[in-house]
Amino acid sequence: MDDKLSQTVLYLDGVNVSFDGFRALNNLSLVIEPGEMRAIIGPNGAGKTTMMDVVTGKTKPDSGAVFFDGTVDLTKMDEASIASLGIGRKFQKPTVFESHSVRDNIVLALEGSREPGATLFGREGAAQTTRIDELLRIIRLDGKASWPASKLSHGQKQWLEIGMLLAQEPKLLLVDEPAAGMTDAETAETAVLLKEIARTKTVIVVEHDMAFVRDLGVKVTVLHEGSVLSEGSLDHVSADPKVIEVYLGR
Amino acid sequence: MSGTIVGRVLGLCILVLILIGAAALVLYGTLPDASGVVIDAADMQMIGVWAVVLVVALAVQSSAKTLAGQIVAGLFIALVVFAGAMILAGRVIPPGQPFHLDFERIEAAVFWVSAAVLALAAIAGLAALGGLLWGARIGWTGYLVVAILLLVAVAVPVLNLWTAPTHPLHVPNYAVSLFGKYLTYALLALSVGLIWGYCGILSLGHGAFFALGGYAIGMYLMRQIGARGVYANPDLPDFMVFLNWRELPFFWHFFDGFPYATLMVMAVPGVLAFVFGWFAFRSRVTGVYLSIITQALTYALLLAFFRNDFGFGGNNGLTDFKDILGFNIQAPTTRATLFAASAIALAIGYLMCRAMVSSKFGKVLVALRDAESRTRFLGYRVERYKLAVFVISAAMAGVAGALYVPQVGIINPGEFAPENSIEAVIWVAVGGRGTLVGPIIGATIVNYAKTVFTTGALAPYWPFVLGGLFVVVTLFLPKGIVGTVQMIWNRMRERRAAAPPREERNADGHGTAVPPQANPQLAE
Repeated sequence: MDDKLSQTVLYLDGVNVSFDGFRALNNLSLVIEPGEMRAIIGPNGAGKTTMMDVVTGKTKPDSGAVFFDGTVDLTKMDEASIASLGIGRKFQKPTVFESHSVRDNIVLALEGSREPGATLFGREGAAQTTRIDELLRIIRLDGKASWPASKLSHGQKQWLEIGMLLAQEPKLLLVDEPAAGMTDAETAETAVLLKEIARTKTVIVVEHDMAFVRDLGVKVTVLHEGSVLSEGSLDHVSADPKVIEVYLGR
Repeated sequence: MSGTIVGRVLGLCILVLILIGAAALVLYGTLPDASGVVIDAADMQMIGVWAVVLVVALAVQSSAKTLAGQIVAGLFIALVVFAGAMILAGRVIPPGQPFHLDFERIEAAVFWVSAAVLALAAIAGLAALGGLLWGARIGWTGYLVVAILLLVAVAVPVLNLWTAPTHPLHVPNYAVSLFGKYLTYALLALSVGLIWGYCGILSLGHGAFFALGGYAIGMYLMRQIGARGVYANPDLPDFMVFLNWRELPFFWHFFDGFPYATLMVMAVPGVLAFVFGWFAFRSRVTGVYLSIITQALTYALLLAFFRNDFGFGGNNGLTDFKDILGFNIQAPTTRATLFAASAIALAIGYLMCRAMVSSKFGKVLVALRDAESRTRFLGYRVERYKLAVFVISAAMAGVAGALYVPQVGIINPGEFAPENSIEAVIWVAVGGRGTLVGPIIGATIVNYAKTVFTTGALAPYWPFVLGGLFVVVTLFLPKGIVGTVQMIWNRMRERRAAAPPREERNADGHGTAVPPQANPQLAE
């Protein structure tokens, strides 16, 4: 067991969270291996976002174990220290810093010391400038670097947020509904972008859009009422009678 | 891991406190007759204050992560140890015993140590400012503001002192004091504008830090009166003679030394802001709740300073000042010098704030103002940023108060009134929140209006005018004067730039030609 644990990037075991009696997570167990990209699907209220909250330290579980890299207990840490471990998160609703320029959004996310002294006296080096320009190209916003983020379209904000996530050089990326509100072309491009990212990093994607999940072509976990309902390839879970029942109703 | 260290240090502090208490009790209870050691209530107070400062110093030490932070905290602890040694040598060890020090000697030691600390702080401050300015994007508007302030600092004293009263450009004496007062208000407004405009902390108690700085310099000025008071008592200020006090309270010691008083001007507001912010920001108290407790803080201080037995002159406060650094405080030359000092302090404060907000630090502040939890998920410890900027702002407000008091000649508990703090917020709102020039302009305009309205037939209506002004600004100029000017300027630039294609102008990545008003709050 210990040996198996140490080979995981993320390990959730028997996690319970309830809000005012509503059980958002119900004995949830989940194992993500290094380099894996995993899609998590499920109907509304299945606990997808709560699971991300637990991993990133926003919500403390009532009980259960959450380990990063096999040894780091995430339940005992706050948001900032979890982020500095290398766990990055993209929110469902794109939350970029609206009054900052596109470039400054990347600058703020860029890997480096987060201490006030370092940000006060530190100056941008050549390596950082190169990295920022590279990231801006990856997310296709290099022409809009000096725009205020508030002027971007919805899809561009989603990309900017993915860029911010990449700038943190995380080991594990949690991506909440990246394709929500995007045009079909943007959705397809986002799938390409995510697959590119997943070559070097472990990625968890929460998504509603089945076509998008099919584009990704990865292992799927179906959540329902706060626990795992089914796991496997998309074809396997789509054929699972339990999943059909939950999605289509009795 | 760091949590356990903090716990251990706090545990150690509690242990030290218990030991000190026990030792004091033993000495107080059993030894007076045998060895001549007498620890009275004043000594116990002194030891108590010392112990609290020690705990704060250890807390700073335990939370300092960087080398520079550790060094600063180490110096702080060295000072606390020095203070402890002085208490021991002066008050606990009786005269005649080895290691006893006379009070005069201790005073001299404290004077020179504070002078050394002040010099060190000045050097460190200049180095920090240099480090901030190195590679910072201040922009021509920033240097223009600094240049104007420095010009004012030179021109007004010159026109006051070296032109004949009939000269058309002559600045009369009353105007020097009046505008000097506005400059200190502008520095207070700048300190409010920094935390409110850039960090979203709406402090409704910043007047407290201003007043504390004022009281610290007021105590120095009181001690300079010496035997020239009404009661001609060389050792005690008039109000203490009036209250029948026999000796100077311990917290009034050393205030006859200017370096010590100057340190206290920044240290007292700074430490109070640190302790207050430490608890408030760590517990994630934000928004209107934070505003309410800052208001409560200044109100509590108002009530405390009103009491006669609090030891700061009660209702009357501190006044009747004679000299500052040996110069007559009423003399036109002294007034002109104080005016110049206020303008220079404002220029330095502005430059410092400008460099801070244009650094990455400032970007983090704006980020946490707009989306605090998002900033946390990027790995920034939001509470540390808030604490740092709150302490800097409080020390700035303290300096403003210290420049204010010698120019108006009085400090009393009225300065702690919540209305004053709210007024400072209105100055910022009128001038332009989220800019740094805005607070300076707002403070000057509103106070000029106040001077006009409160001298003459309109005097009773000033509160209505002020309230009306606030309503008008909120309704019609929500960005304040400077913000509105900026908006019009940006719109004009956009219209002018509408002809060439937009992409071309952005090709350089982060050039200065910015389309749709990028960073409205970082621009000036």
